[in-house]
Amino acid sequence: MSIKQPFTDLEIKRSSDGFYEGHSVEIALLSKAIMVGLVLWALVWPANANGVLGSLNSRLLETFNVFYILIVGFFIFFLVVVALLPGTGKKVMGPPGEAPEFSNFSWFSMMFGAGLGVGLMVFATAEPLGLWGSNPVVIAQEVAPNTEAALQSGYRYTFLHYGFHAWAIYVVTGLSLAYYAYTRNMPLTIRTALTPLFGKLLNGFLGHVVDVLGVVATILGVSVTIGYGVSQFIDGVYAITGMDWMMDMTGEAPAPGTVGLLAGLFVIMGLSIISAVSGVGRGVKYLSNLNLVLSLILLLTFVVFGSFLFAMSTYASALVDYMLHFISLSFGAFGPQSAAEFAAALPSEAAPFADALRGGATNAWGSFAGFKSGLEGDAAALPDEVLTAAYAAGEPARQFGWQAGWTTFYWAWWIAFSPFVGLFLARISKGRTVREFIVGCVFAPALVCFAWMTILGGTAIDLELTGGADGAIIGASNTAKLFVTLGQMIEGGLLQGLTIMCVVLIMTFLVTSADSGILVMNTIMSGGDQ
Amino acid sequence: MAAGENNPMDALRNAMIIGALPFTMVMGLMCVALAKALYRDSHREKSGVAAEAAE
Repeated sequence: MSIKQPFTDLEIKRSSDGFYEGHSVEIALLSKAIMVGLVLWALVWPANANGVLGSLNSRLLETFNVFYILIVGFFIFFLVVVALLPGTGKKVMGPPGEAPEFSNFSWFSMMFGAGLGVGLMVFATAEPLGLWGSNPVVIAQEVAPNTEAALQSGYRYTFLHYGFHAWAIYVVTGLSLAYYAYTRNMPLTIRTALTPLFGKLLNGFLGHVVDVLGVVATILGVSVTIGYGVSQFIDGVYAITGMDWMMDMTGEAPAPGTVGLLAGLFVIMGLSIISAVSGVGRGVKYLSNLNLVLSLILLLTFVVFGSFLFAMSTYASALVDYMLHFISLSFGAFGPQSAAEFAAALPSEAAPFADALRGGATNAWGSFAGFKSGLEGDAAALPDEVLTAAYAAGEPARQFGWQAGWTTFYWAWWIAFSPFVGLFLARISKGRTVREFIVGCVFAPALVCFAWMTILGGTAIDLELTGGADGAIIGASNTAKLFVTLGQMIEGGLLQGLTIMCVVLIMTFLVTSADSGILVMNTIMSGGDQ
Repeated sequence: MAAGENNPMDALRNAMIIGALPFTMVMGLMCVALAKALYRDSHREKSGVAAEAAE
């Protein structure tokens, strides 16, 4: 009995003339209509958009938080199985007998270039510090936040968010695209990846929908990245020049204000257009090399002046701890806790006050002290041990709130980025085996991200623990944390120079992200044509 | 960050989590499709080899 040949006859109609020459008009128009609608809504009715999106999101996450967590856990184990099975792992993606297109060295360096980005500039210090102060183990009240005891769990979740799962998300998309493109000669676009299931249905409306979903996710993911990058850019410019018209001084710590953000966005857009006009291919390649060199200089500065020994011992112990908890990190998903469930978990003395207690006890971003001080009247007069039990009754809700606001945010971010990074990984991996692709793109870049997180973030934590930072880094806004850490670590001309270098690096990262984002969307909109 | 500060990033972040959800489902289907393609391709190879050997 023979198996019928796979469906490879994907036809995507492209416009042959006019503005959309070479593009699929349906995909381009649908994606643009959705994006323009979204932007107009957010600009013209900001309060409405914010409220509707916020409540829609929290309602969706009540159902889909568990889905997000479990499917990402599934991705990594799926890839491990595919890589381990000899029948699938040894399969070469490319013409038989042909060597990989790029040498190992340039393959890895391009991969790190794709992975290192604005996200790592903002979150290298913000992520470990934030998780040091709040993570599921802290929420369970097993360790106190911002202490040496919280270090282990803080880095466990840092590694979770930037580790194998993150790269597995990229590789699921990348591997699918590369596999069909190089073994079946199909176009390098999202709908290709579903042809084994839906066949020629993908030549029609369904195919457009799949591609549009990829484009919309990419645009939203790139927008969030650019949003973080521009605020960090403004924080950096403020650290150098002290121009406070850019900042909003009303909060506890200065944060970039609207005027500053718009000015920053304007500068980045201008530079991005210039680099695109100057010839996208060459411009992006030149900037990527610059990014790599500047990132290495930044890393070396932290190695020399920062807490390198602390970082290395943290790296080793956190890696072991991460691997030991890998299964529970992958599949430990939380759903919402209803008011009735909370009331049922309360001790009998506290039961009459369920409504008054619920708000504080279920707030994932609060603390036990905050919960107690927020109570009024009879509820506040309850004895301490009853309140402790009441706070513990809200733990499932706090765990859910934390996971939905933190881990799920990252999973959505990486998923939104996966057409972008996946397409890039596919492009550079022609001629690799499936196993090489999975091992090379999941595990190698994750280990480098860990080093980045422990060397930069570890220095910031060490400055808070033993140095003289005294809460200055914790108190700074997320996007300012890198600059405050630099200020605590070094001084004088060196500090000035490095701050300027970081601002340049953020700028070039932003321009490359914007440029390559446009390239990826063009590839999808032109039906995989390169 | 995710700590629920009220800033301009909130709307964008919410939109992204909502917008990535349908694509997450597409990615789930991608895994199923890839499993099917890999499984079938290995069978195709085997039957191809068998057919050639018989000739």
